[in-house]
Amino acid sequence: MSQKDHHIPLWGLFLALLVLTTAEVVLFEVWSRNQWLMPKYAMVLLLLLFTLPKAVIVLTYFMHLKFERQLIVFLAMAPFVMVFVAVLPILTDIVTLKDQSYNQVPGLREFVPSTEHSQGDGHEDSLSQDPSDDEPYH
Amino acid sequence: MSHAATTNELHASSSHTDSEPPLMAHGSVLQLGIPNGKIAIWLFLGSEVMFFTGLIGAYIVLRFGQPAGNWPQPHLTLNVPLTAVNTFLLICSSVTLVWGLQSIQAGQRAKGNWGLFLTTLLGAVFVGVQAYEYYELWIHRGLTASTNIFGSCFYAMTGFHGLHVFLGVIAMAVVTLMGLAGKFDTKHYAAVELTGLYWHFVDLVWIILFAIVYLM
Repeated sequence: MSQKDHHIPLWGLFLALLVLTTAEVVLFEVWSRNQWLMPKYAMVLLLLLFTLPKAVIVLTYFMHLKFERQLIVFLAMAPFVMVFVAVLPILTDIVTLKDQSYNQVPGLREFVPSTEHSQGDGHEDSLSQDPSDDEPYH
Repeated sequence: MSHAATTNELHASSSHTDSEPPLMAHGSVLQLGIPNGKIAIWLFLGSEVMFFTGLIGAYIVLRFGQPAGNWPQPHLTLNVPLTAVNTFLLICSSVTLVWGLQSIQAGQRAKGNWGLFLTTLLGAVFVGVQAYEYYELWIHRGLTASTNIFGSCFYAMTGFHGLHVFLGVIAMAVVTLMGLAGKFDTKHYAAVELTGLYWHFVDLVWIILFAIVYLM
């Protein structure tokens, strides 16, 4: 079965992808400047609401999975299930990592960013050793 | 049943006119009624799903396992607006590819070639912008793959994706040249469709990577 057999509303999908991408970036930019608006997990959930439809559009229409035979759908979906089962156990390490001090995690100590200027000077998340270099490049 | 016997049976079946599925645009079709090329590309994409999910899974564990303040905020470290434009370009390339394929299927060869060419061009621009981003981060911002665990994750995920796009651009360039040489028509477009599946997959991976790495 080929794409020739089915009509794809190409420009409608393009518009949807454009709107969803713009919404993602606007949401992130607004939240990053006004983090009091909502907790981070709420922002992440909102982002997923914009990202997942984009992924579904590409998978179902552009990759034509919606119109494929069951075997192809199975071939496409099986890795997602297998990967979910495989990755699920290591997700518990999130709790393990949070229970320890970051500096005590074996093997990570030497990669910890310098914390000398992270004590309340507003540069907690900068990678740079020079606080004046914290502006994003353009 | 030996492999040789199985192969012979498949060939015998495929030459039997009563049960033979129609020869499709993708070339040979065996008993499943699905083109061999399509099965092969989906199996390959399945392995790619697991490859990228391994990287993304590791990133999620490391990212969300850190106490607050121990992970760089994307808007302070990365150029989110530039990458958003780059994301838009990659999405556009998927659209131009579908447009090109639909044009070829409709017998509009010139439009089809334009679609393939634009897809190649947009993909090349994506790789170029990513190279510029790496240059800025590595040289001017001092973020290398060994600076910290964020740098390692960032370059591993976006680097492997960029490599996939680069290989996709080469594949799309070949397909475009084939189009210009008149290799495709309303019944013969397998190379476009199969390369397109790979291209859309790369687009799909970037949609997820962009949200996870740049926005979360």
